[in-house]
Amino acid sequence: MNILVPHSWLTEYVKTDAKPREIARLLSLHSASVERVEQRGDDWIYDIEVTTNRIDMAGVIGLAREVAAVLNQNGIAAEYKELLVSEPENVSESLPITIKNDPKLCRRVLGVVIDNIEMGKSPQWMRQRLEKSGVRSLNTIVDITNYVMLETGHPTHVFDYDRIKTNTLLIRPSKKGEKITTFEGKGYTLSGDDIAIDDGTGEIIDLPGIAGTKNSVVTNDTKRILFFTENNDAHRIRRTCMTLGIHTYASNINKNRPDPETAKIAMLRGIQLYREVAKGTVASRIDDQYEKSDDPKPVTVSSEKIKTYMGKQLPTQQIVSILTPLGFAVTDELTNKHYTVTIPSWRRADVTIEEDIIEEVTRIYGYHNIQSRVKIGEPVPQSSNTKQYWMTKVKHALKYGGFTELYTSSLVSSELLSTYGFDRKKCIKIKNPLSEEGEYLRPSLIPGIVQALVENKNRKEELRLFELSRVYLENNVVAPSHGAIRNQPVQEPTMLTFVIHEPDTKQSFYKAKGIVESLFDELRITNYLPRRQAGELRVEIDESCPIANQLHPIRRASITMKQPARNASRNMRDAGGSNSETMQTIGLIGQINDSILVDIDFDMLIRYASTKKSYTPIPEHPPVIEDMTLTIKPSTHIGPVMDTIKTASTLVKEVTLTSQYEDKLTFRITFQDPKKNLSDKEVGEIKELIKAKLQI
Amino acid sequence: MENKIQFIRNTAIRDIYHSPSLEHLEVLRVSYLGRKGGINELLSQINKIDIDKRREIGVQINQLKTEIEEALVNRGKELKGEEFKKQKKEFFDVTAPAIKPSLGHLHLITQAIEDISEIFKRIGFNLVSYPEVEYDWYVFESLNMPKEHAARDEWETFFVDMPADNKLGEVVLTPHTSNGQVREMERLGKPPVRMINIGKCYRRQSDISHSSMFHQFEGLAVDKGLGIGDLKGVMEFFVHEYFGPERQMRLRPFHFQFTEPSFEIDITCDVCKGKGCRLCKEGWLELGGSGMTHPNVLKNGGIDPKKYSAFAFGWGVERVLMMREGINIPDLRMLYSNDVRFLEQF
Repeated sequence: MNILVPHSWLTEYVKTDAKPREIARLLSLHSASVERVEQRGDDWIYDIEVTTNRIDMAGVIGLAREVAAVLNQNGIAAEYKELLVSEPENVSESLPITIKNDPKLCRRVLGVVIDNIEMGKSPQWMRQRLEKSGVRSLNTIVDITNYVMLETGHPTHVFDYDRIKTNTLLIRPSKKGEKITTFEGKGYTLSGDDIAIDDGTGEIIDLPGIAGTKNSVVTNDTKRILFFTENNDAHRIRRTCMTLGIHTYASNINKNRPDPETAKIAMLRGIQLYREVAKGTVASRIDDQYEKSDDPKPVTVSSEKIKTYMGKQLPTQQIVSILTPLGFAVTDELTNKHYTVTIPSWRRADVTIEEDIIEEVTRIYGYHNIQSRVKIGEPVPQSSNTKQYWMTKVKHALKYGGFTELYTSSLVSSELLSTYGFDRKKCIKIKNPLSEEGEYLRPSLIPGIVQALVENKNRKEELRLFELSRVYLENNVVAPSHGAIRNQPVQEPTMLTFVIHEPDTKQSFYKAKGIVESLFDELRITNYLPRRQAGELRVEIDESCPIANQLHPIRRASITMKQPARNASRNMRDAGGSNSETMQTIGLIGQINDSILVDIDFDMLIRYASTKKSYTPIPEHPPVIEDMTLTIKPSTHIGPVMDTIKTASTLVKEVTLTSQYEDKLTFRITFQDPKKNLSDKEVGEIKELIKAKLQI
Repeated sequence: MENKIQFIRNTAIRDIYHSPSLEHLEVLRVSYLGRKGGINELLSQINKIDIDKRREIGVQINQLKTEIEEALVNRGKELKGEEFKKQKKEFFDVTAPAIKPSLGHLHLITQAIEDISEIFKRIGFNLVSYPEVEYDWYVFESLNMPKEHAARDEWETFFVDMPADNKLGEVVLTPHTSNGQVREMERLGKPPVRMINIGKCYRRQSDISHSSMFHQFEGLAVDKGLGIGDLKGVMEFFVHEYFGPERQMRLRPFHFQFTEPSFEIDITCDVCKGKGCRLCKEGWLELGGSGMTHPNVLKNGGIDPKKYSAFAFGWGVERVLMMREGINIPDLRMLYSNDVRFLEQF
């Protein structure tokens, strides 16, 4: 929580000549972060972030203790001045109200009756301090409770004594459905097990530690008050704040376990102020119900460990001089190997282990005074998967192929899923989505990418977009993939998806196919096309794949690989059928609307990738390159024709299609014999063989 | 023989002098000086000459060769000069548009992740990656954040609609990359650990400076004798490499459940150079959290905190990116808007 503290108030408890900016700088380095320090008139205001473990610093007094320690450590004179309060004397009346507490709900409850209060405006000095601290001034009675809280760091409360008709305060857990109206007039329904104060009739007259209720707060006519301080169960306070959405200054402190010892100081300080400022008279003894728990356990710290953390040995004397002003007591320091440190009550929740004491020593010593170093140390074995290497390679290859990378949302709407044919029942659902836009974890990159494509179509004529990222599938949908991490709640395979969209769609499919093949080249997947039998584009795709219905019925293919023996493992996503032992479908390519989509399982893909490099001797004899024009029957697949040419003779090194006009195809064929120059006759013979095989 | 030499000299010099083009000149060079050219032909006949005359003839042939070479060079220069004059009169427009290969763009986050992991790689930190959909144990419990702990409030966590695991608890979308800490300790089995875990994280928040999907990078080092100085050294190395050597860094005491002591790392504001301005906190910008790993976390990763110490840090990729580049993106969510007009700027 952030608190605003006026310099004038702070210096009431720490005597120093240090300038506000200097105090702010040093506090940030050693203690709490001062986010801003601003001059206001002749005063300065610190805006300080108090962390949840240091709620003792939420009050001016706790902060002053830190400031003194920090300034002294930096050689700046500063003296912490304790608040002096005492028990009211000569009061014999016991509290005329019966407080029934449950120690599980409140660790400590203090109450006192104060009579003859002068209700009205608070004195100017008090109003100014409250306002500088960001708290609105209301009237003497309420202002004093706030003033005490800001000063001591412990919240306090006040009831109009005469409005408590039953003379009973019953502290009890709330029941589900009970209703309250806060002092501001807002109504809430409780969810149960909140800390509530009941006046004995069943009516809740306060939500202690969080907010007063309308039926018991002081009014302009209040003359007599019950001044009340309770130290609550922080868990319950936190839960109530969360469920009701009420966050007050007091609840921000109370949910972080303020010190019950400080509760008493807050009570005495309040009584002092009611007497001095509101001319009140103490009309009862203080009722103090406190089941004091054991004193915090002393913590033993090894001096060796302090040395490890600091990189040097601090003399015992210095350690003692750092810890003592913070309220710690160091004993056993003579053994030098260990220190035994006694913890002050206000740090009991925070300081429980050796490392906590080391934190105190090192932060006050100053992290900036610790020498930094970079030690490389023994090498650490890298994780077995080299996925990152391939991801970087593929991303860069695609970038240089003209593709722009997308980061679409992992969280998608049910509408988007159904638009692209995905069954949301098979998708992983979020229990508490932020909006309908993100109810499900994506099972595929396709919906997001196609969506992005649609959105961008009117912005640019030609689009090449890709994403290389994870999708999320339940464990029972797929077998754990290679290199999966143990104890993983769901599968997170990485997919590579890209789209090509261009005004002239005639070549798009083949461009996309070309990108796939170039990527395979880049990954040195040598057993893919154009060499036959290694891997090939199958014409048919898995019809059960959700996207199948969205694709053009014939302009599509699955990307299928021949598995090397070592990978021929049972994989539930393999292509089915009799070939399942050797063929593996790793993705698909197809036309969606007027664009071409490619979707590849990246984890599977990289199992075929290789970093191996080998040299093939450069042929000494020149090749013979000849064009061959063939006439084919309508609807003939060119792939097998080229494969036939390629496999007609071992002397055919390369076949490319140079032109296609109606039923005439021209191929450029490279003939080469590594051992000798080929004669025209030999080339002629192979060409005849090709014609024969193609039955032309 | 001498007549032959004289004849070749006359025709060669004349032909060269009248040669109309560089291509023609090259033909002449081959016909005189080539492997089957006039000079070699003369030399091949030299052994038919009387032995006492051979030497003199040899000298003459070499002289002829030199003369032809010189003539070729001179005429070559003349022809080049003529061609140059002709080319000078032509029109060529260098200001006409270039023909660029079409290049794509890597996402800003990919670029940042590459930069970050490269820096840490140099000081021995391995890049690792861990689940985004994660068990409560790895996200909170093993990191010293028991159930009902107030510290959990700060993480606006998404819960996954799946049955909880008996031991590992509920399934959530990881709100930070810290889930990689205990997982990496488990993977290695024993120190040393030096990891940089970069990944997607999710929190239930969305405004101009928060996207519900974002990225973090998490560092963890476990070894014998690691101290605050080691943490500072690594942080400073990163800050100076990534933001530049002029940026200063400080450790500010803070509180996290999984580190003790805990720090926020601040760097000097690049706008006011540390003097203090509207955009920063008294001259400092908050970079992210770090600290010495809490002994409970080491224990949960199977490492004895009495023998080993450790430090960790977890920072936002988007945050460091914005702080370095000064790219002035008014709304962080633009990073994930998939608008090509945005993406193609980087």
